[in-house]
Amino acid sequence: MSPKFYEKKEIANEGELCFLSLEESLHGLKNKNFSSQELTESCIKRIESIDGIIKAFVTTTFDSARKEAINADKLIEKEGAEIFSKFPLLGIPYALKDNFSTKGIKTTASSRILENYIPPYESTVSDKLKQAGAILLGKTNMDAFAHGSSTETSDYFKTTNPYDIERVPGGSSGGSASAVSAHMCIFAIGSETAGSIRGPASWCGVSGFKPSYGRVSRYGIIAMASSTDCAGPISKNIWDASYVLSVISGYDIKDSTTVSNFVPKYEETNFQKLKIGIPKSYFEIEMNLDVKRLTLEWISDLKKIGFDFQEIELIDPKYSIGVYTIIQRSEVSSNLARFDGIRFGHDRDKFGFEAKKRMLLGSHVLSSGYHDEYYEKAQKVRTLIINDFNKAFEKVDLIISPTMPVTALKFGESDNNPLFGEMMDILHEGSAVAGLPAISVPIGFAENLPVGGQLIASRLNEEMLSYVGRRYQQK
Amino acid sequence: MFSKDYVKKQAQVVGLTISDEEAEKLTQNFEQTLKYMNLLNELDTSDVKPTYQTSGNINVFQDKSLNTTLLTEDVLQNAHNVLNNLIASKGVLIK
Repeated sequence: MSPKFYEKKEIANEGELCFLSLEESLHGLKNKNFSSQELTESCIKRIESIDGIIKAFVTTTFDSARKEAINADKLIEKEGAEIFSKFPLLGIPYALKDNFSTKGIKTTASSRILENYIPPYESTVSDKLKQAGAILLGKTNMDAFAHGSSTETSDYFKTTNPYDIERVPGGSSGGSASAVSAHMCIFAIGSETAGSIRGPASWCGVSGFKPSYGRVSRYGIIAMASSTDCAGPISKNIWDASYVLSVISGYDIKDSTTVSNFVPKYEETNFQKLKIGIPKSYFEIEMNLDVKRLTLEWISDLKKIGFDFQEIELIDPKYSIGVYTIIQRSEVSSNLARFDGIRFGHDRDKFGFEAKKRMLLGSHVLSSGYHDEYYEKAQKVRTLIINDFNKAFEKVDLIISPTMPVTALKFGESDNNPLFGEMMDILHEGSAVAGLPAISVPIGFAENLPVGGQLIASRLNEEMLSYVGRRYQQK
Repeated sequence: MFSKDYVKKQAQVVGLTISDEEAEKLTQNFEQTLKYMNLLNELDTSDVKPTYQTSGNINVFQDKSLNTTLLTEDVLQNAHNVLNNLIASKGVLIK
């Protein structure tokens, strides 16, 4: 186990409540071992003491958090543990990525153009969490408009990786992953278009759960690429992520792309026998040898638990880079067209270089004469990728791979690579354009940096991911 | 394929102002990015239909029970310029 910077500096106190997982926090609150006020205050103290170095939060909401904690304690006192069946996250402090609209609370998507924007409405995800009794501690830093995989493109500041503060946390949900990893909250919410939950979870040594497209409402999320955007939890383990996912999932009248399928209690699901596919092509890409070794050791561990494995063929993931780049840039150019500086936000000259780059290429591939060559072609290859996954899922239940090809990079290492994000997310893009669910779980350390392992399931099969993730972490 | 002039023209289309330095960098960036995009031509898609969304939902109509609306004052709070309880913008027509 690698020590995080604050452990090295001996400022950690493992006895602090903020170190608890969600499962442990719920147990403690239900049994009145501690109060929500104590739990919330512990997280606030933690943020105040180390966020000057981690820089995970762009906005904090401590005053309202303290008030909500008092109310939560009153309810628990009055109704007892049974109140948790009505409010499943009562009194639990969490952090929210800053691209989720929060009514009356500044929402910037870490962009300068939205630096003063106060949404007049609430995103469905944050609303569901509020209705479940969760307490918002603040909004977390991200790549501006989620354009990146390192959180370096934030227009405000760079979030650091709790395992090495000279390295990036990954992105775009870097603030959420760092906040969980550094125990500044009990869980956090991130979002991903392709890898923005899984990637930072992997590099920060925590668990991330990317649901199927349409499983969780996108209403109120500042859009990046609408055909692949997904919201999901980043947490201390997969039980926690599964529990939160059960709360935020479901059909939403305000998002026509949500599906009405039944939402199970993911944290309670069980399976007798599961077969996991090892895609040859995903292990043949250029990757850190320690990452590969740890993934193979993870496979051995899962075999020992009782899961079966089989080698499978999948399309070379290098093609998903092109597909994802074209689709994402096109949708970015369309989605960012709404920023006119009239109804909300500053003028368009406040856009950063990364947003300009994406909008311009998107506009090019959608323009007359290039639409068929690029956009249409990408959507056809997307069909090939989906068919390829469907074929694989006829043979196996899940697909396994490393989450990221390398461990967390140092700040600035990606500066001269215009496709840095897309290259880092090479193992996520296929499942993202196919709308598939996936998890990332910590599987070890390479040179003192966390390594994550990825599992992908067929559409709306989050239950299987939760089960394997939980079984592995219980071992 | 890309030139600085073309990049500047595209910038105008999407309502962005870019400096000479940015245009230079973007031109180089786009050339590198195109290499990955062009890899897709290695795959035969002649009989393949495109996929635009993966939710599986088809013919979705707005549910009539969704009739909430935002309050005018809430909407105006973020507007750059407000006149007579309306959002004001620069003139778009030239006399």
